[in-house]
Amino acid sequence: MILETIELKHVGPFRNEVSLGPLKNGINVLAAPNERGKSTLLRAAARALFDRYTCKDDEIQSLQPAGSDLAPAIVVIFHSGGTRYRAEKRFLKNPESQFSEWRNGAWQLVAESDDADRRLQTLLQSNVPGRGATKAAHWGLLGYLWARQGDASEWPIWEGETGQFIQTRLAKVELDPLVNSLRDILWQEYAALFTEAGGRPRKNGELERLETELDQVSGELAEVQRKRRGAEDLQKRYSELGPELKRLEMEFQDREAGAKRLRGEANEVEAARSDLQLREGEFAAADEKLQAVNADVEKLRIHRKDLKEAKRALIQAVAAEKAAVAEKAAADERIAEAQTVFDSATARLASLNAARQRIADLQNLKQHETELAAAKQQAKKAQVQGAVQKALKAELGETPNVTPQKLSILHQVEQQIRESETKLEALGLAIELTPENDGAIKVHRDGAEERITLKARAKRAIHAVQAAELHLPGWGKLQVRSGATELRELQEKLDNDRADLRESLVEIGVVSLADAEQALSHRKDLQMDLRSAQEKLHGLLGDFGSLEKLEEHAAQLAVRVGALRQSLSPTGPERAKPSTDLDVQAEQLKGRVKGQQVIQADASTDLKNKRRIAGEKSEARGNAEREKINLSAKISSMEQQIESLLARYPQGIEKATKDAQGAFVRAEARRNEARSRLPAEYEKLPERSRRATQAAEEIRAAAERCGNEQHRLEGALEQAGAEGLHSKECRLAERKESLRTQVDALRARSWAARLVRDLIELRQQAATRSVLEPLEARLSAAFAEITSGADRRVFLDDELQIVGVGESREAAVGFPYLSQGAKEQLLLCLRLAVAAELSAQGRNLVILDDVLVNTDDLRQDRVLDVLRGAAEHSQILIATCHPERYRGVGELVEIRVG
Amino acid sequence: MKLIHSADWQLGCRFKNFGEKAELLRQARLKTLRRALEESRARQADAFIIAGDLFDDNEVEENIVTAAVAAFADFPEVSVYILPGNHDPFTGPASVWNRKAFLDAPANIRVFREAGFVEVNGGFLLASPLHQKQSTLDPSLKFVEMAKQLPKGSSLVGVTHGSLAIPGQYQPNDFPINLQAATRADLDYLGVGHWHNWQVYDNGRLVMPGTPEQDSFEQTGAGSIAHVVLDGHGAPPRVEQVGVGSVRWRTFGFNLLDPEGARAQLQAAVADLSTEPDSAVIRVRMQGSATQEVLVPAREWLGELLKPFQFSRLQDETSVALTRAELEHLKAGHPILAQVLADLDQVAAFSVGMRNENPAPEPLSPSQVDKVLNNAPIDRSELTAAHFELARQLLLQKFQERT
Repeated sequence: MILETIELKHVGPFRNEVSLGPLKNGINVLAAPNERGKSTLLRAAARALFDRYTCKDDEIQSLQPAGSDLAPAIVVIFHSGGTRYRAEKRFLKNPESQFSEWRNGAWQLVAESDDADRRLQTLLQSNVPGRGATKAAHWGLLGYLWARQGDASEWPIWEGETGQFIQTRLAKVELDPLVNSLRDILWQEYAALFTEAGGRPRKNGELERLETELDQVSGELAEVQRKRRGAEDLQKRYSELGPELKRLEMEFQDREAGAKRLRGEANEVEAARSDLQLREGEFAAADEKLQAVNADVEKLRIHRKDLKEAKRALIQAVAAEKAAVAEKAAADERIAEAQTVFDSATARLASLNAARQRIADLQNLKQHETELAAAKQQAKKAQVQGAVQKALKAELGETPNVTPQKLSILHQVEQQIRESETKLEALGLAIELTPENDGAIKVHRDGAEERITLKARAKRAIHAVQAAELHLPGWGKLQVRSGATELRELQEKLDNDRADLRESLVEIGVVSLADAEQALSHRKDLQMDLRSAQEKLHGLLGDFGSLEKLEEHAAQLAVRVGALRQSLSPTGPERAKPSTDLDVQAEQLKGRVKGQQVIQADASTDLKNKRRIAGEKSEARGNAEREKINLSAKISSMEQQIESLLARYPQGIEKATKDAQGAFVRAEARRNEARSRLPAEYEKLPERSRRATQAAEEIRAAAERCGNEQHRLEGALEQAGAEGLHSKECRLAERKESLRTQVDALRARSWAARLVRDLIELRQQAATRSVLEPLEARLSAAFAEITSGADRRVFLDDELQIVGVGESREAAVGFPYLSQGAKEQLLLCLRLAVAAELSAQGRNLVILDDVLVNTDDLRQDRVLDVLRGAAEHSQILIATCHPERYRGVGELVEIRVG
Repeated sequence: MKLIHSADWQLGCRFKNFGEKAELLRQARLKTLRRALEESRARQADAFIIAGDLFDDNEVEENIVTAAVAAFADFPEVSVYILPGNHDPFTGPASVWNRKAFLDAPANIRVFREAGFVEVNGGFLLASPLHQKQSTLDPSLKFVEMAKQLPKGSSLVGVTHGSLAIPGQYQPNDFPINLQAATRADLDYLGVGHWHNWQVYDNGRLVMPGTPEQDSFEQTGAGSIAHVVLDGHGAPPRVEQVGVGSVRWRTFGFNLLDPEGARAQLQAAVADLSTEPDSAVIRVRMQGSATQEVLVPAREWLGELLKPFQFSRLQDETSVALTRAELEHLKAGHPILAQVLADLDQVAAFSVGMRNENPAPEPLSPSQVDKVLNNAPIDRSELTAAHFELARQLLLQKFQERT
């Protein structure tokens, strides 16, 4: 189809009649600024070609001029299959549709109203929706070849019959309506039960209803079966309980009988035990009595034997006492003799010791007197030396306190003064005088006045620090002054140093540096003398440390000497006796004392021995006396005990013994007889009886519990049996079977439908894919021309959608990831390729409504090249607000009024 | 001594494949029971014996129990002796025999809850009931000792329930009854129940009458009770097989090789059943291959024919057939369909291991096979060869419908 003319009235901005065309077969450029109605005009043409004339959709109403109720009227003249047609429609108000064909030089009305619309649809292979305005998808081929403003980067999906038809035409696949029909029917069969997207049973569909009921029935069946299993478990337990109960009851009977038997035996044992206890009591009494008699007999025998022995011992004790008395008397006589000897020796030794002590005291006196005299002499010398030391300290305190350090500092200051003076002299004034005659002049310099004698023709130099005033006789006063700053500063320093020296000397207490040196020397001498005096005094004091301690020592010696003299009161010869004699006498007395001490010790030992012997004799005598008394008392006591024992048995002890033995034998026989009546392990019988009773009771309780449970299970089983679970299960199982069969059949048939349909589609797509090559080649060539990328191809998928661009299908950049410019250029190329592919049936109209808005100038030129090539087999209508972009290409067309 | 010996009524039993209509089949059994009781009354039998499995289960619902007891009560002159079988063993309180209906049953009903004997018209009826669903013990062994306690020369009739110990035909735990059990215990007649087809052993002394009402197509010896006449101890019993079953189970074939002949044959066969359509369970197996032109009208005709029979089922085992010429035409005219048929064979071979006799020149890739199988709404592990045959038939059927 190609477009010739569009005429509008009452459309958008066009209240009056406007027209576009006639258009050329090649490129037509409709250039106008924005909002001049370019897109409105094209949209109105589409409505006239594809919408029902009775349509009142918003899309149609938007064609009305703003604020008016004018009826949009559109006329489109086009060519298809070599015939010229005219479609004329008025919408909304008095709507009408006419379809005319150019025959024999005039328009022939072919159809009107609905018929006209249908004819038009057939011709354009378009369709209309159930209600509302058409969309691009309804526009047949033009839906794909018309790039609408704003949709430049979107490609319509190939859908609907038209889409499929075009797809097939493009792919050059022969249309097989039977296969398509089969495919659709199978799909419908599948889709009647399953959702198209998720493959799930369709909501409220037959399959879902059946499966829901199947689930419900399965749930109910499972619940019934669960109950049945529960009842079976109860039954099983019940079956086990019968034998269990019987066993328990039998066991109870056995246990009860056993317990009863044990109780009887226990009672018999208890009676026998009581008798045994009685017999044992009797036996114990007889035994006790027999033992008591036997003990008395034994006691009597022992008492009699002991009495005999005691009497014999008493006779011996009396004899021993007599002998001991005699021996004691002899010992006492021997003690008196030894005492006399000892007393004599002791007196002699005391006399010798007294003499020896006096000699020692005299020796001591003489030694103290000697020491006293020496101490006095030493104290006197120390007193003298102390006075010397005191005088030296006083002199040292009065001597100026010059130290070597202080003197060194003074020397340094003096040295500085001398150096300053030398410098001053070197820097200062030098006045040379050579008088013609001898004479004298007065020189006043450095604060001092001096008289200097001069000799004729002899040169004399006079130096001054900074200034000098010469009084020249006969001439007057001559003042010479130096102006040097350095000289002045040096003079100031010299003055300061001199002042410092003077202050230091005054502080030390000397007049001059020489005095200071002398004072230092004197101080050294004094300090040396003082140290010597201190050493002497120290030697005199010795260990006493101080004079006071030495004097105290002397006083103590004097006291001791006085005391000794008073106590000894020595005689004249004793005083005169030299110490040597005293020592000899003391040694002699020492020997005599030792000899006398030995004699006294021997006497003492002898005396002690005799006293010990006498003591022993005295003790022996005492012992003999006590033995005699004790034996007498013992004999008396034994005699009383024998008498007492015999008194217990008036019938005589022998008869009593015989009676007790007879009673014992009888009691023992009765006890043994009672014991023999008890069974073996009779002690354990009561416990066994109690245990058997308890065991029987436990079994009885277990049997009762078992019976109760059996009773409870009976109730539960009766109730379960009455529920008719089997019948319910039957009905549910039957229903489930029925539902399962239906569901399986539906699923199987749907599965088969879906499988076959998918296989048909798979094979159709494969067939389509095999013939995609020419379209891909044409598309790739156009895109390569625009982008100068000859090595890149454009790839389409089975649905004829652009997959991407690249050197291979696998390495292609996906369409969504391309730039906006590339996308709009690709889609332009695809439209041109589709139009070219289908051009065998005649030229096709391609409408480009303000596309390529993202294309740069370089590519724009290449796009024009491509458009020029495409214009050879397609009619291209370009609507643009950038006329400069299409200048020189095709025909410029404009909207004409009237 | 005259007896009616029946067994395996299995009131309340389950019927597969009948859905809600199964209830009608269950009700039919109660009518048959009444008919058997009527037979007993008419023949003046001394005892109406039920040798086990009166009920299908101990847990049948109450209305079945009361209906059975009511049927017995309606025939007070018929002495009914009931033996618990393996389906309804006497297990105690949960047993159907402990339901109130039986505990308060009329005097003409006697349930052998325990082994024992009862005098019947000078002879003795010895019973060995079952107390559990399975056992390896022969329940007829009890008769040996029991018979010794009874007066010599009396007619002795044993009643028990179990499988016949025929080598290779019984389960060891299914109460195996010795085939000479009657002779072994010196019984004149041993009436047993368990299997559903009529059986006679031990020189006519051991009889298993089968179920009185057929419950599957395979039971050709069912639908009877036994009328037994004992002429004295030692005399062979006179046994008559009396048909009482009301529901007839029939299977018919319909082969497309000769559609017209099949129609005539089937019509004649069904005519016999048409008088009581509610008492017939019909299965028609439709077999063979044909074109849609033949198939569709045949199916329609069969549908009409079976419409009066509420227990009818058409087992369609037919397939759409294409002649070689038609197949070649399909392949030539519709290459895509030819490919799809080959694809189906390939996918079937891949999925269920069917032999692929028609390999496609351009077979599907594994991923394509996966894709089509994953899209279809049945898990591939559940697929069978029948599914693929169905798909093939569907394609051919639809194809034929449109050509």
